Amino acid sequence: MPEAQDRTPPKKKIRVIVVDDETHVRTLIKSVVSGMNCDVVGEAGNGRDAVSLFDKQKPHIMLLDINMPLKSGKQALADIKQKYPSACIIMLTSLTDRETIEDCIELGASGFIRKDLSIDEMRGVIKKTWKAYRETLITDQ
Amino acid sequence: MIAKEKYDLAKLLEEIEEDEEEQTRDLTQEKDIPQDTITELMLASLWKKKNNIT
Repeated sequence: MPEAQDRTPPKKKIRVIVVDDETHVRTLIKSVVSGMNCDVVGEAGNGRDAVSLFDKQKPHIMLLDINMPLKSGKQALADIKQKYPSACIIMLTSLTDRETIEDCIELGASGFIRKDLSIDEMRGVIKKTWKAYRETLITDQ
Repeated sequence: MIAKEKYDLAKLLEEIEEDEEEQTRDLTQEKDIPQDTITELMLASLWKKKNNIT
């Protein structure tokens, strides 16, 4: 008699792109999301590559640094949101002044993570942001 | 004739110093916003957009 098989469909993984100009930060963030139900499907080291990688991969979430060469994270955010208004983009930065935060909100960021958080705290913010993003999702027309 | 006004320079300086201190305090608070506050702002923005459209 064949063994009973688990017919529960596998839980779909959340596809994530990590963007930061510092390799060690990308490594840290990849370890943060790999401990969640996420697949890192790409990474980039500047805003310009971030935009083209988003076009190519269309991830569920992009974790995007602000201070980067070639194109800033804010500009990359603006470019991506113009083309994909419902994109889930979580900013990743050490800049936690009100002006930066309000600019990112204005440009359509879904979340914002301070780089000085612990791994568990970062996971908490990503989960909270993803949940709120899905609950408030308005699909692109 | 030159008009003369009397100013209490010590008091003026004191007021300027107080203003500077106040501005410094405000800037410090604005430059290091805690993660919980940031998350609240971001989530409130998501809900606001949703409610404005629907």
